[in-house]
Amino acid sequence: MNIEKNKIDLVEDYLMGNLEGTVKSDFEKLLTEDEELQEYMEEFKLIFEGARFSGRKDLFNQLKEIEKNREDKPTKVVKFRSLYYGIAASILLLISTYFAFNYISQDPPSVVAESYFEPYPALYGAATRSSETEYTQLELGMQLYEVARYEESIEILESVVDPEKQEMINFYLGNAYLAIDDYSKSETIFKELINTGKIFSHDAKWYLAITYLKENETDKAISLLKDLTSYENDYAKKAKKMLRDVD
Amino acid sequence: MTKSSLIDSFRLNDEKEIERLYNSYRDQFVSWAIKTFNCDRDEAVEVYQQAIVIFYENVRSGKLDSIESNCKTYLFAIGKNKFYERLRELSRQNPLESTVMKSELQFEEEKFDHSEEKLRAVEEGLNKLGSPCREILIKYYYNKNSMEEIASLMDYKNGSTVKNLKYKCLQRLKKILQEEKIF
Repeated sequence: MNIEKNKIDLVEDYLMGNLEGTVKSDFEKLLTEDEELQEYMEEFKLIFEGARFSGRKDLFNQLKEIEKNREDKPTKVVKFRSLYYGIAASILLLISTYFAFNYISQDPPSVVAESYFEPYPALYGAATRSSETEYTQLELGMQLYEVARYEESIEILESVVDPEKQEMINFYLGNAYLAIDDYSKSETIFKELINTGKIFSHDAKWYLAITYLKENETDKAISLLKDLTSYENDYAKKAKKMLRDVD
Repeated sequence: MTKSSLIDSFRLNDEKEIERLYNSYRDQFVSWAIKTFNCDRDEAVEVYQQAIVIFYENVRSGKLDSIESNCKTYLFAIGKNKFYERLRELSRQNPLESTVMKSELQFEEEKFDHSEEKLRAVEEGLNKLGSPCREILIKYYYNKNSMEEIASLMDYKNGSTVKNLKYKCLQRLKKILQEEKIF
């Protein structure tokens, strides 16, 4: 049994690329000379590949499940296919019941906010990296933010002291708190950025509006959104669209 | 903390971690793919899933020991290559563009030497084996978890227990495949 186990270990190590130098060349030499070992290797390689094939399939199934769960989430976006199939039958109904339908199907503000909320992209990172082997705390915090590990990102970013980048750090902190549904923290941060910030004040208004909607404080959100529509930037378009959904 | 420790969690095939990674870039990737390659949403999602799998397999194999570029850059670069591959298959155009795309970042897609028919037969064998053998073999050969990691993930006493179990599982799988005349 031990000889068999050792043989498995050796073949496994070879297939997984763990053999090096003379051990590897000795094994390959043995493989060319020993027919029984060749046969054993072939069988084992099939098992090895079959397991990897199944593992890959499992991972695809896991991703399909994640995708399906995203599709099942309530959303304001009407799927094209559903629209296509239903358009002929529903057009008259839509016209005749427009106002009632619009009123009844209005999503709660928090649901509207969810459909619009996307954490601000992590733009601080690779290009500004200071070392090839170690992250600075700021870089690490931003990497964690980028892969949506917000709790850990917050823990690190809260400890960073860098007066020159403080406004940016606070802005990402506000986003991270909003992403984990800690609205009181995100509200405080975005308000401060609006009052004192130089770079992120418009962005902060957008995210504060989302925070308010998540808290069902629709009036405050509407006031901010109306303000945003007066600018000439991407937020103005988004704000106009969101106003239609909540107003 | 070093860069490599940041990606350790991906090595453990933590379902939540994979879900977070998936959701982090999914919308951006799909919009970008539809705009750039004029594909439909379903195709964009399919390629995104392929990109995640290739990224995961590269991390797991230690080919991306440290994230020199960020996850997003890798995923988009892999996605680009997949689209170029598809376009090449469709139009049989010269592979120049594809080669250029591939030179951006170093990653590779694991290929199998055996036919899909044979691989499916092993898959059926693994399904017949059931739990815990199927999980142990996949965690070891695909996820490349160590024996100690598997022991911890599956609540076994230690790595030696898992190693003995894995040996028994392999013998059982071999027997199944012999009975099915796969060998």
